[in-house]
Amino acid sequence: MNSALDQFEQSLVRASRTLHRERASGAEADEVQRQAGSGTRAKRTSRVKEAVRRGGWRIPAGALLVGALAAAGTSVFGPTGNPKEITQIQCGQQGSLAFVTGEPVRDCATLWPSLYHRPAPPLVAWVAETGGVVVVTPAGKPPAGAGWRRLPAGWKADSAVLGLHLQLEDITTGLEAHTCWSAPEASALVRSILRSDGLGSWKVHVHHDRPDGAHPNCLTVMSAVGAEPHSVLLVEAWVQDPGDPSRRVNTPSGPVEHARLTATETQVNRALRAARRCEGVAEAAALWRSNAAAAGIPDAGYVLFTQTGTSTAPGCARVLVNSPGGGGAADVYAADLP
Amino acid sequence: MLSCVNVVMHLEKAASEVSDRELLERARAGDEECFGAFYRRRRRAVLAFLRPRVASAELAADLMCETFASALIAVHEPDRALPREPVAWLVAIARNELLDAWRRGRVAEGARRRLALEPVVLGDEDLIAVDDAAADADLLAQLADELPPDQLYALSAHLFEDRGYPEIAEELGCSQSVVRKRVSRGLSTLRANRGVTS
Repeated sequence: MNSALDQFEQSLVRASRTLHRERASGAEADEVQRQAGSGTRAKRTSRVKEAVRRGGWRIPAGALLVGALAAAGTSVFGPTGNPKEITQIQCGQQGSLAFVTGEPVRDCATLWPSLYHRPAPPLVAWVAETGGVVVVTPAGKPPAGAGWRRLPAGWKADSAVLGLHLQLEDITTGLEAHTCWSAPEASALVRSILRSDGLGSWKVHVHHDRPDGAHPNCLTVMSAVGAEPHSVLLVEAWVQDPGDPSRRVNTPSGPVEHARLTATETQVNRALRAARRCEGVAEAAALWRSNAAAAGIPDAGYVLFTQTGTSTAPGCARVLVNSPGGGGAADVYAADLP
Repeated sequence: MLSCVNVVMHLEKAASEVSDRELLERARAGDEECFGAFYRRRRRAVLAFLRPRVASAELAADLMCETFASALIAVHEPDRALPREPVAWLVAIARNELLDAWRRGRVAEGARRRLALEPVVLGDEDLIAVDDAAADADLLAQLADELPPDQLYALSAHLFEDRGYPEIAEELGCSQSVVRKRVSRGLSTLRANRGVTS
């Protein structure tokens, strides 16, 4: 084991040992505290279940999956702003997912000019009383309806929980945006996403269970990651009434659109890498725009963010495409890092 | 039960016996070598994701190290359920680290600092390994440049995912002969582009 990357393994091993010891000693202290006051978790969980059962909150599929994963230890849908229970941050009314530091006000202030084409006003973060989602609004304009609690300044969500949610949303991108799918179309989309995430060897399985009278070409699809090692299981729910076709699709709407975005990302990065000189953010952004237009990606299909490195010695720029789960415009980042 | 010291020593053999998730479970339970085995097994996948998206191998390695440090912290948080598919979880963390770095203009090192990990000073061997890891991802990207989507899909499903014509045909809702044609045309296109006559 000679290389620096190999040696880093040993650093991780030592850190793992230290963390385990810290947790073990912390668990003993928790046990003493738990004996002092019990029963709160059961009460809280039942309150949450009641709130969800009443239909007071629309739960995204990704959050349901996170909930399933997290069910062993904690409820995702806690009653108040527990950082480990927040799976989405929404900036204003656009519904955009913003996650950089996990600090909602700070992250939304960064995104605000790109989303709303004006400087960010003073912002305030609110958490739904049923948990799960934080919404950031201009000060003095709380979210519509009851059931919101203001979060203190500097409040921060758990970035790993948000990351896990995004992971599932990435893998299930677009599925929630459709009310009507064909199985091949849904499978092809998921395969496209897996390939672009470097998980091309994963398998996609479809569970068929069509009841009598269901529409032959119209189904909703729920996805479950890890139904078996390295696989995504798509479970079909056949639809009796296909509904209004004009309301079916949001973007990105399918494997072709997704592939178009990721292929353009690859082309632009390859061109930037091949450039003899080190291209800056402005050049990278311009290259993205021209390639996107050539690929037939409309301006409304993405929001382009630019970021120049904070160091005095900027690096070479690249672009990154991030397609939000559930449809909507993709986020495209053009940035350099020293 | 195979210990993770053995997993490290006999990774190839153990790969089919110990899942990623089991490695993380054991790491959480106190077998620290298991996280090392997990890192060794999956660092290439993380680098394959990161390398094409940043300008240098050093930057990709830097982000990869922060990714694994963040993952390690999460693994040892007892209230958190471990991910069902750790490699997908890692890619998601890597993606977030990348977004975070681009928005801030620098690579975060909070997780490594919290764990008091020593800075990694890369040598030539490391840089070659990082670039090498991206080769697989690049191959599919190159094919995507050369082939129309229907041929790319059929070809990659058949050759890279090792799936049979009947399964692909059923998924796409077409006949096996159509899938065969797409694979064949894809291969012909690639041969023609490379000047290969047979």
